[in-house]
Amino acid sequence: MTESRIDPVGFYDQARLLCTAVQKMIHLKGGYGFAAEPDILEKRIVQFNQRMRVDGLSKFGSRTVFSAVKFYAGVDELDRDAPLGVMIIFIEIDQLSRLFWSFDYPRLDEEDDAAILDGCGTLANLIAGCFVKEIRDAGYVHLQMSHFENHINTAINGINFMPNQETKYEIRFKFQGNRRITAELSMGHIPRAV
Amino acid sequence: MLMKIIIVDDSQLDRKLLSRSLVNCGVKNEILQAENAEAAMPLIIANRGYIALMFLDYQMPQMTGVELMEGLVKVPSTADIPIIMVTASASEDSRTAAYKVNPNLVGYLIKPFKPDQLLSLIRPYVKIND
Repeated sequence: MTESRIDPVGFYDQARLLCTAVQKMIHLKGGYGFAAEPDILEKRIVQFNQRMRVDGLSKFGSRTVFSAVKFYAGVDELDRDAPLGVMIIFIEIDQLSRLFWSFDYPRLDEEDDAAILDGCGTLANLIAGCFVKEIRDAGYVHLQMSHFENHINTAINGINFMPNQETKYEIRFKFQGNRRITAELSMGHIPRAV
Repeated sequence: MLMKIIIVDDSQLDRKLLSRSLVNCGVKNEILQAENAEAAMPLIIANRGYIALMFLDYQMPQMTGVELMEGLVKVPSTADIPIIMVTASASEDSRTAAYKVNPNLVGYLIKPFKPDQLLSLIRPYVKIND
């Protein structure tokens, strides 16, 4: 993997586990192999009123849909909406319909924004489920997941995240020769399972 | 009146997928869909007594699948609806919470699921043409 920096506190490990989750899920459902390892970049979070600024257009230079799923350390935190972190999945709209076609899902209408938003949320939900499994298998607590939140191109009001986080990881996945999916992960310290 | 199946999931794509999977399994029951708990309530009330099976997504906005189920089990006329919880998270805490709310939960399905997993869960509750 290409990395900009390896931090000493385990956040990079979380990003690697997200890489594994995405690759496993895409391979399992769509049969895709990944020719190259994903690029993992550490980036500073830009925030406004304790909301993370998120720009989908900058990811692929074209119309982009993205979905966010929040993670919680436990059921109590989920009930209080006190997230430990957030994952955002970005994908080009035409890629999304191709991906679901490969997953053998019902056809996704690229002209229907509601269907596109829903499709990206569905993808993020599947990836999030794989990610919490990878996290658990790595010895951390089993994170709780939120429902998905979807946007096209930009999130005008930003995305809720753990406000004391200053950086996030951007992970760029390439398959079939091009960058197809980008994920962002901002996560606090995940407690170890006892 | 043929008993019905209700799918409650905020993902339209997952509703379509589950609906198609049920049809592919040979299910002949009418399948109704709702995108959230609020939309599900009129369907549940209108079809009370004729619901063969209900699929509830765990992670939904406003009211989760477990919260909706909690409401259903408290009402005698809906308490006996066979419910299968559907989720992308295999969290043991979530599973425990679901079974605590409804000890009669008939299944807990992890996305993505295989057709044979679905078939084995639904077979006792729906009409299937093999």
